[in-house]
Amino acid sequence: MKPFVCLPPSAVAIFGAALIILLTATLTPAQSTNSIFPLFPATVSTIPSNGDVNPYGVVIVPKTLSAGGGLQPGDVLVSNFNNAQNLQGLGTTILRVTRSGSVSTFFTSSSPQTGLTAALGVLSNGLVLIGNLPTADGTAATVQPGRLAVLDRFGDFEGALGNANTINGPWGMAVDDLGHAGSGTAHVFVSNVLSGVVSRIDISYTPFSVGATDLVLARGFTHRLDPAALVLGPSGLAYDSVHNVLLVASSTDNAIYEIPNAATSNTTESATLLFQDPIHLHGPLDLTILPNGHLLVANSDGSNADPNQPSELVEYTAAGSFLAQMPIDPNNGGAFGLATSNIGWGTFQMAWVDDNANTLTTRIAVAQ
Amino acid sequence: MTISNIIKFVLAACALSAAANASTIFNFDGDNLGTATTFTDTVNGLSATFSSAGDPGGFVVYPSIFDTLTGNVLGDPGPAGLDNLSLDVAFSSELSSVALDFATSDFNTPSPLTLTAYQNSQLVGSAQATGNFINGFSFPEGQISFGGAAFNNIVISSTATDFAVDNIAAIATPEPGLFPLLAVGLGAIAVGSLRAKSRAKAASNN
Repeated sequence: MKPFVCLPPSAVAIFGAALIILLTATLTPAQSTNSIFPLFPATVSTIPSNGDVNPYGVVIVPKTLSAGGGLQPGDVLVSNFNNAQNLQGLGTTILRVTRSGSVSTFFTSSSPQTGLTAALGVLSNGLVLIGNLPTADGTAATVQPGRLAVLDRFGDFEGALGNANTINGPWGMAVDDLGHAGSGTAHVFVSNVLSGVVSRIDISYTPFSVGATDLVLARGFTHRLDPAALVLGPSGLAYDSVHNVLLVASSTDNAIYEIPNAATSNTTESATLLFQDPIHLHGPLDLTILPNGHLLVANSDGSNADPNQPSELVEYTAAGSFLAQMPIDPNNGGAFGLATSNIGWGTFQMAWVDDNANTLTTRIAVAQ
Repeated sequence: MTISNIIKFVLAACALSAAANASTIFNFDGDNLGTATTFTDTVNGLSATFSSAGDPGGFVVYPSIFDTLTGNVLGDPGPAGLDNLSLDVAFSSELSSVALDFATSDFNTPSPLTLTAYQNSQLVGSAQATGNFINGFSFPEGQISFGGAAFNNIVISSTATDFAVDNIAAIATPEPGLFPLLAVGLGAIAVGSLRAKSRAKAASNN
């Protein structure tokens, strides 16, 4: 018979404790202590303390946001285009709505950076990009080119991107961000409603530095000033990473265009018509791609308005076949900014503004 | 050693060998929901370490929303929020084959899933499979397997935005010590057989 191996009492005690810990861990697995409450309110007001109205841009802070203070993944930012007197092009605020529904003013600009538009995006390192299109008195007669400002994750102004060729009335934005853990590259697409140009700004970033280059990706989109809508032209953008195509919603001719080689081209590309729908498109202002490839368009009713189809969000197949629509306000002119964020396996977060009621609504939806 | 003892010896060796070749299943059912890569599971003494370039949190354990993948599954996106990730599985022992169930996050055409096997960092080979849509379920599901030369690491990837895996059946290569044991047993049988024949011949000659 082999002798038993004798261990010192201390080793026995350590072994025993380890065994107890192991068994405890096995029998009673660690339980999450994170509550699901409070739930994000479905709808919140977008009117800040200074009285700004007319929410335009909406963006959901990406899940890939690096750890840090200020903005957090899942927060929603909303930009206001009008001031408290409802004068277009004079709004100065971006609101932050946290996942618990808390609303605060994230950023307040000063003249001439007024009239914050739907050209709003957030990179995974926390940088916030916001376009503006200012007016002196709220009329189309006094519109100015504006600029594309860069803010940090606390809402502090850091600088501006682009030049006169690439930024002239920034109106819509799409972001293709390949970054992770505070470093990476992002392709930022910007539609310019005063020049009919769609630009791409390539941003490289690390926790210590940011670099950017820009180019005109496509030009020639129809655009015009409008006494009611202020401006019409290339508006909402959505980037299809599977096909490397940028989709452009055009509010002048109620059409969706596509630009090939969007993230990789080093020259100006030719945009082609994907589809035109005068029945269901009414001044499309924002555009997003759902997890199943369908397109979701927000009608501004800035052109081709139909009182029987007010403030519609319209769903199309990837090829442009109409599927369904949903009014988000009983009157025309309510739908503007629209954003989605993929949660995974067809489930996504969706956020939109009602320009009439000055509200932000969020929903979780499942693409079929 | 009598013939019957030799047979018992060989049968025992064969049983040991069979046990060594039985598949070990990693099905994540023992993992807490929300367990995210990088983590290690150990089943029957075989450990598998799951990781990705998106760690911490590239892939996560969650309840199945599939048909053939049951209980808990491992898929992306995890807490890191990243899509289009590859899953790396490092095993503590060499394997001779591996098979698993998978699903890809496709709504239209199913994307292929690729399994690439390595011995340390040396490429051993790869396999590719495409899932099929199953009535009543949203995403294509399928099975993939690989076998051949020994390997101790696999990388699973897909052109789909996300994918999930379950029921990873790993078969370890037989323990090297079993081969000599079998050889000794077979040799003993041969010797015994020869002796028996020799005795029989002598008896017939007498």
